[in-house]
Amino acid sequence: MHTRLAWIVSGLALSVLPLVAAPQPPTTTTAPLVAQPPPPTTTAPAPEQNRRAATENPDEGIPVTDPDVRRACGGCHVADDKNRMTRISYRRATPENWELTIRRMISLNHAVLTPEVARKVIKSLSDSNGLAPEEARPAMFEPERRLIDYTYAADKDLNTLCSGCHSMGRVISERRTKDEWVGLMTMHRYFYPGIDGASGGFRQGGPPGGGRGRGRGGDGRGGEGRGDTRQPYEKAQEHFATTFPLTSPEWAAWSAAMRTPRLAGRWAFAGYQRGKGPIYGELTIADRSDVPDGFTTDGKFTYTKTGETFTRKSRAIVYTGFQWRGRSADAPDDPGTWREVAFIERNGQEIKGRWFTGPYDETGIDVTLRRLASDPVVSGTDVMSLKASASGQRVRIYGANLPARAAATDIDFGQGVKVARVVTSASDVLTVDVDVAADARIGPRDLSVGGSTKSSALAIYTKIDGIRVEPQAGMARLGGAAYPKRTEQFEARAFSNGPDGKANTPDDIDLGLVNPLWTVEEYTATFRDDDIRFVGQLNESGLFMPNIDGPNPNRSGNRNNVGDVWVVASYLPPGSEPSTKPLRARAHLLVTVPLYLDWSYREVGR
Amino acid sequence: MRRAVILALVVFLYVGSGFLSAGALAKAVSRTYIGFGRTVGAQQQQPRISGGNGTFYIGGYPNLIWILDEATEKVSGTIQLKTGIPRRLTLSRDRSRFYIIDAGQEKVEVVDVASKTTLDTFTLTEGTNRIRINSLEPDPTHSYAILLTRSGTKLRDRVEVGPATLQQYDLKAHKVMRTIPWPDGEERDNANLMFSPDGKLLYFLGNEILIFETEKFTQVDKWDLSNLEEGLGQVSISFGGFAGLDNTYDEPGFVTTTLTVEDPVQHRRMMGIARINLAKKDLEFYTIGPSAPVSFALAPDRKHGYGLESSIDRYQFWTFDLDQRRVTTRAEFAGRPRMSLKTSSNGRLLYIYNAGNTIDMYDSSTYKYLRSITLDGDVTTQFYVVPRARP
Repeated sequence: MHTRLAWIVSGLALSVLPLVAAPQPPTTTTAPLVAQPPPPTTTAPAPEQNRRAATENPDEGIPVTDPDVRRACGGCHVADDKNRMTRISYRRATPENWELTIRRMISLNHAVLTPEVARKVIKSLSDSNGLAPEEARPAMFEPERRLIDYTYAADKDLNTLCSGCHSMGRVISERRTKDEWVGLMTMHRYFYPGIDGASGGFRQGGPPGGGRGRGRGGDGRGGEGRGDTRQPYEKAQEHFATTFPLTSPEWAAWSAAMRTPRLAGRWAFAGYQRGKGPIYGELTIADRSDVPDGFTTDGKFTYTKTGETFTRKSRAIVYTGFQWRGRSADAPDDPGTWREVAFIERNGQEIKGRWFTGPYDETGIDVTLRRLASDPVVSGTDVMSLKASASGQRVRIYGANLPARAAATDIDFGQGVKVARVVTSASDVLTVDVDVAADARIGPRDLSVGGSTKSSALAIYTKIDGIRVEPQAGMARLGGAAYPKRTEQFEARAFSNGPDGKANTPDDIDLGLVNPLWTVEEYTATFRDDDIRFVGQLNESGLFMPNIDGPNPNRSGNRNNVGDVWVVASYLPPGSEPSTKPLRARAHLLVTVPLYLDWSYREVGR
Repeated sequence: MRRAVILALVVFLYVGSGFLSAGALAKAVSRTYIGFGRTVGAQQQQPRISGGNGTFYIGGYPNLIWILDEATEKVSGTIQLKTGIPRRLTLSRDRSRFYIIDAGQEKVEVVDVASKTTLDTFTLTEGTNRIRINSLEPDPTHSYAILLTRSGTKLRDRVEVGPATLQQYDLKAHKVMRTIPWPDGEERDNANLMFSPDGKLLYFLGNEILIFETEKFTQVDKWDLSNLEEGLGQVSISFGGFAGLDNTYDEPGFVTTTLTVEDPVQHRRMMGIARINLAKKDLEFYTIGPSAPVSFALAPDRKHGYGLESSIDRYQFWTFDLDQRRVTTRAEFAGRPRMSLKTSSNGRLLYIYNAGNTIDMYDSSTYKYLRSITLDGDVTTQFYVVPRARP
């Protein structure tokens, strides 16, 4: 067990090694390293390159004035008379993408930076050469580490070209000049030998008389856009330069308006964790004097499904004025088991994002924070639906500053729903019994308490018409031997067909979590499919635990325990006749190999 | 002892009844007695099908070439490489040397097959100017090689990648003799190259075969195979499978391979076989059926070929009768997701390899799985089956 744990820890440590294990000269927070000399084998930049970068569009290029960045990067990236450093000044990116670049500079280009200096550089460049909120929002799934089925619809060839190796989220988190997009693609071709050919699809071979290869990036010489003789990578850099340019009105506006966010104070917390349901609580944010744009948090939270309560502290840094990156800090030696990625809305009143943990960041809570003053705030309820024509249904209402002595008349669920009794009342939770009339209109209902309203807090329904399994496309990774396991949590949600009586239409009503019977069925992608025997186990809570990694001598071909299966939920709604056929729904689960090389970014929240 | 008594009693009764002749009786007794004494497996009762008496060469992790005796199916030796993981293995036409490109595509190692020793290693990379070698073809005299290269240069704050270049490289002097201009100035990423048996011509194999003389490497001829006959439709010819062209069983100067053609009327894609005589610039071809993703391996008798169809859970062996110009049999088998095919030196076995550490053996007449050879590491290169004598 200890050996396995050591391997897991080693694997995680390796992933951050370039930053944390860089040579450590005596460090202080105020005296970063002196300028690094260029690697001995490199040659001086050709003057014409600098001129080209600077003169292609004389107005482009963001001056870099931070002495830390100038010292750390200036050995290779020369500044011109307008303080524009080669490469760096012609690019904007999220903190995570800057971190990836700095790690690459350390691991492949022999840059020597202490972790402290590296973090300063990331922070500085994220602020001076970052993304505007409007630019960052579509790419938030990337730093939030959400496993979503994303397709870059603007150009599916490019989607295929890039996502064969990494997430498209990494691409849309970048803004560059044309020269810089060319430089980025060239860097890929330099480091990865197979990327030009069929395994990468950057190029499409050549004319007859030498063998033409067809890569994954679509045929640059035919098909859609027939007559276009550009190679796939050439098309890509043209598209990116146009779609994701260095200069944009959004950045011009935000970079002028950006300021240190004022976040200190109390915040109402509303979260949701797949399989575990709603979480409510309160969080206090305090300024952190020792770190620019740094904050600490201290909160208390409750899972409404189980009543389990927990507390948590964290430390965070805000990049570019709106990008919250934090880590749990429950004890002085807490390595930051939970990470926090969130987006501070421009009005400064709401923060939304994801808290996550696990070897693959697979366990997460969708989080919304709302700023608290003295007025009541309704965060949500423990149940997501109420049945029509039923009395005495208990509802717990969570929030902050709720009336200590609430009366039934203080609480409003809309027409047809009557608060029969206030069972208990406290400032953070009210417990009430409600009666729902037979003719209450079905659908989502706003909930109002003492002047605070939560929209679509719950729904009224007459009948459960079906269930759905989330996520529809799950993924687990084998582990337990050399690598950690990636589990997958499924949940089943009931729904009503809504007023039109038809399923899968916009008026369907989500009725919330149900507890189904979970089973696994073979996904017969092949005639002799036997994945179900090897991939792992699904427990009664819908948590899939993958099998061990590595070759399995008991499987044909000595294969790993990989495969894909159906995850099936069966549910009999309360009050059903025993002979009633259960409602069923299913989702696809892919069980794949471990992530042998993990290049994820983990530094920006430190 | 009790068994012997029972046996004697049985023999006495059978002889007395006249059911068995004396000879048959002797054989029956022999078999029965063996059966009593020890278990005889069904496989041992059938003659073991051998693939022939050739030699296998296959490169693998971490840095070696395995040499196996085809008759015994045992590893008879290894060649330890100095340049790391081999990725591309090229056997010279005279079968005396291997030219190996490493996994990083920057180093070449020349190995003498007979002595199993490294004759030479070289790289074109110098300092921050990295030269990757995509493919290599040695001339028949081993004096030079044609290299398909691409450069990548690391500058202080950026990298630059150059065009694909065809170079003549002096194997003795270790220097680039010349850069051969691309035909029509059009850069290519891949090239299936082949010298004529006398080394005087170099062929670029593709839908259009380009022919160069080897003094100054000027193009002397061009042969367009994409439009073989009026009314036939567009032809596409396949050269080489995993890691390049292996024409061990072809006559020198010939290439036998598959083609696909889309007829201009029905627009159906059909598959065919082409036997190309490079010297005479002649080609014999015929269609055999609907197009399918089948890789082709020629049998040593040159009268048969075998195909491997590999798509998701559809693994099929095919047999082509090249005299009768038809597919004689096709059958599914339990293959693996990534695999390549070779024919044994006597044509009786089919070898499945690639993506793993086994060579799986199948009866070429029944497609029945027979057995596997397990190597000590994963295979990373082309697999050569070299017959003891040229077919």
